[in-house]
Formats: sequence, structure tokens, C-alpha cells
Amino acid sequence: MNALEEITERVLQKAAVLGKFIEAIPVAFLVVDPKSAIYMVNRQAELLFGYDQSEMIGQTVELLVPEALREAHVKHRVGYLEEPHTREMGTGLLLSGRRKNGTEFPAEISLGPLVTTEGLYVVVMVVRRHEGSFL
Amino acid sequence: MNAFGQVTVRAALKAEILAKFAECLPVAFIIADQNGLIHLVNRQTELLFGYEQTELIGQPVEILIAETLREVHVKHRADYMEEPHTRVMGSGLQLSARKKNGKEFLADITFGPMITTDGMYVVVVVTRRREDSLA
Repeated sequence: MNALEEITERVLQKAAVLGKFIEAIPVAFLVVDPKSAIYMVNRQAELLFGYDQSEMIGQTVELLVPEALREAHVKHRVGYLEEPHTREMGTGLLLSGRRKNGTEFPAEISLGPLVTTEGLYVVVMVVRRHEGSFL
Repeated sequence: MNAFGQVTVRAALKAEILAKFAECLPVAFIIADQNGLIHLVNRQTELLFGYEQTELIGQPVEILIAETLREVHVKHRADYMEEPHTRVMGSGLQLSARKKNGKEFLADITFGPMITTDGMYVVVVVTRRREDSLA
């Protein structure tokens, strides 16, 4: 195997492991682009929200927020993008999520900024919380 | 930019996002092998448990569990390895986790199996119960 083939093989191996890691994460997540359009989702997010990934990708994240909260959410995310920081699970926001069928559920949201050469992307993790854990 | 240039930029961006994704996840995660040994932890895990990653890698995952639960945990994980499945956040286990300083806290634990060419690994996500963090 020549050097270029070796490098290519290593890159492919790394990509395969990363892909498996991403699939194995047992939490729903989205990756959102600098314009707050959904760039990537995992299978858990499809199950949680009832949309296929093709229906979510390219939409603004407010698709997944109850209608009554959308306006406030736009403000929050603009504020976040001015001062991005990691909001860990457990210290995250409590919000409601909205499924494709219109039902809502209490959700905890945590955020991780992901800086790229094409601007700031954000990893958003969504955990459904039982009513009781709001207290 | 021509169409080929655009495709190249898109592919490079995707690779960049995938490469940075793991370190941007706003949740503590651990990758353990089929013998329950820790292979990888992220910064959030270091912060949550008070260990440096070098202190955790190679240790059995039971180092992060309350002492009274360790024995039963070894059994649980052997059962899990026989029948691996994804346990999603919200339907996962709750148990007492143990920090390096000996303090315990109530944690939600979820798992996702990750099958690689080297065998099976498990992605374990740990979140501190919210009630606990508010108390």
C-alpha cells in the first residue's frame, strides 16, 4: 500500500468509527447551522419528534418548538449566538418540544457550540423529561 | 464557484463537523469496551466526576458508581452485553454515581451499542438528575 492509500484508509476508518459513534449516542440530537436551520439529526431525534430526517433538515429549529413559544425562542437563540457557550445537560433549559402530530412534551435542552470554518454550528441535545422532573 | 467546488466545500464542512462533533457534545459520555473498561471520556465527564481522563482510561466503569452498587453493576453489564440494545434517555437507568472525592449523586444512565471491526463498544451517557442539581 502506498502512502496516499494508507492515509485514505485511515481517514475512512476514522470516518466509519465516527459514524458508528454518532449512531450509537442514546440521546436525541440535532446539529443546527449558523442560520438556525437543521443540518443533521440522529435516529433518536426522528423517534422523539415523529419526523423523518428529510422533513427536518433545512427547516429552522422552531419547527420543533410549540407555536406559543416560537417567537421567544427566536429571541433566545439570537442571544445565544451572540455569546455561545456550552449548556450542559442537567443545567440546561427546560422547554417544550412539539412533535409532528402536534402533541407537546416537556424537554430539557442542552447546547454545545461547534465552531467551523463556515461559521458557528450548535449541537442541540433534547431529552424528554417526565412531568415530575420539572419540580 | 463551480458545482464541483461547491460539492468539495460541502464535503469538507461535513468532515469538519463530524470531526468536532464528539468534543462539542454538551453531555458527559464514556465509551467502554465489552469488558466494561473505559476507553474514552469527554471533558464533560471529567467535570462531572472530578477525574482527569488519564485516571479513568483503562479502569472498569464501576469506578464511577457508588460502592454498594458495584457488584450488582458488574452483573447488569454482563447481561447487557449478552443482549445489547439502546436505552434512550428518559427510559434509562437511574443510579448513584460516585465522584473522585467520594460524593455521590443521582444520575440517569443511557447506553447505545457501537459495533466496530474491533468488537463491541458501548456509548454511555450520564446526566445528573435535575432535581438533584437544584437541591
